[in-house]
Amino acid sequence: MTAARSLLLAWIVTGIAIGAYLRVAASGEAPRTPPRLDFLERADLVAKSLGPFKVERKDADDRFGFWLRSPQCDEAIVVSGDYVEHAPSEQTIAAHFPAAAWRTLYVHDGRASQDFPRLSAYLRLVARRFAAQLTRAPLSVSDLAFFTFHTPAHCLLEADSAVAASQALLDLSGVRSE
Amino acid sequence: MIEASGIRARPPVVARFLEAIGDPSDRLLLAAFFLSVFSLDYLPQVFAATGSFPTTEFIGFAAIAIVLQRLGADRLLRRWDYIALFVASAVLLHPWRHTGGLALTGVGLLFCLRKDRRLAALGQLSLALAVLDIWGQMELTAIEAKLVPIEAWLAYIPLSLLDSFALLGNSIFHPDGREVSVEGSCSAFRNMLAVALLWLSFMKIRNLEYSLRSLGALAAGLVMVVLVNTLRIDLCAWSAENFQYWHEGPGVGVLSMTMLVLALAIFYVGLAGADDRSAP
Repeated sequence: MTAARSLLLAWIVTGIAIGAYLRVAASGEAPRTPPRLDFLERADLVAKSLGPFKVERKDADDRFGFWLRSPQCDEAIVVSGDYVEHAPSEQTIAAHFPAAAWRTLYVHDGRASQDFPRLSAYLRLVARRFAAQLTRAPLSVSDLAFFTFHTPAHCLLEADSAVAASQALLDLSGVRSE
Repeated sequence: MIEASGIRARPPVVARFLEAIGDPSDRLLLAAFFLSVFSLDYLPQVFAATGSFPTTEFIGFAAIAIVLQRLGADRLLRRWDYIALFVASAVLLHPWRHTGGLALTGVGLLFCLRKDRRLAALGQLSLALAVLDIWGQMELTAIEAKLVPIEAWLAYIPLSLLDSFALLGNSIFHPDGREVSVEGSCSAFRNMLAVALLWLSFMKIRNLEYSLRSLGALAAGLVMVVLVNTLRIDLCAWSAENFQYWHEGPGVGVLSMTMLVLALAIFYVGLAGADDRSAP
């Protein structure tokens, strides 16, 4: 047992040296800035297609992403993107899009739902971030973000259409406007 | 005249060092492990360009050091503990900032329910540090949607008495139409965890038993955090200039320091008359 304790002590002390070295080496890497949702601010996407939708206009005060048009609805559908870590509360969303006048659909990880799966989305992000740290691989926007579609109450938004539009938005990540 | 052979010379430092590493005590092993967590994961935060000084965490490690001192030369670790420490140290090699939290979680779970009070104290302090580092953020995310509107409501009460503010969900609207949204990052939750760690550190440093009085001191500290954070939200909502000062400017540091000083004062006074344990 004495030998095992000595070995453990040697391992811990060596671990401090190796860990310090690896941290210094990691700090020398180019900083990996996490991908951002800045493509939601691109004015050049107006009048272009986004999955089954056409971008009608950018939101006036840049609070939400785009106002979209679709053949199935006579009024605009609003799509916004948010980070899973800083997801707005349901109360905030309801304040801007009251349930009496709007339906809300969330799309995250290629799935649409009427309630944002806050905790499972965050746990997925943590798992992805942990895996990314272990492999030193970058995170993607789809790991960090989710999209919210606000549809006028009298219009029906198909989940597949929302997922397709979200994928089209994700494809824009990393593509800079000219 | 003194006979040379009759004098028992004190072993030199090198000899004692060799003796210690030749048959390391449990205290030395645990001290080395906690030193590795501290030096690899917490000390670098002092030099980081972003983030605040980890004062509470440092006090937590000070408490660990004091508990380690009480271990003396006792042999308390089991075979599995050595394996766990070996694995935890391996986890620490990875340069991710939160590996220390993972390692402390494992060691904390292993020790926190031990019969030996000193090992249990080390486990509880380890878990508290891990909660503050990793798990607390997850807990906050789980309850944020319910918690944040309550905090916004608390902040709204005094504002509604002073002017015609309005509350909608977790947003407070100024009479001039300006809106302040209380988000998860504005919540008092993390500071409550920090104050709980501070309280636990006080308890372990002074070797106190859990009692109604000590739990009362903890409750007072938590209430204080909520009140100060409510005041902060109120100040932010009051005017755009105030928001700039208390949310983005020097006011952040002022309130953090106020919270820390008040917490220290509450625990110092609240735990002042409590009896120390007679057992180690």
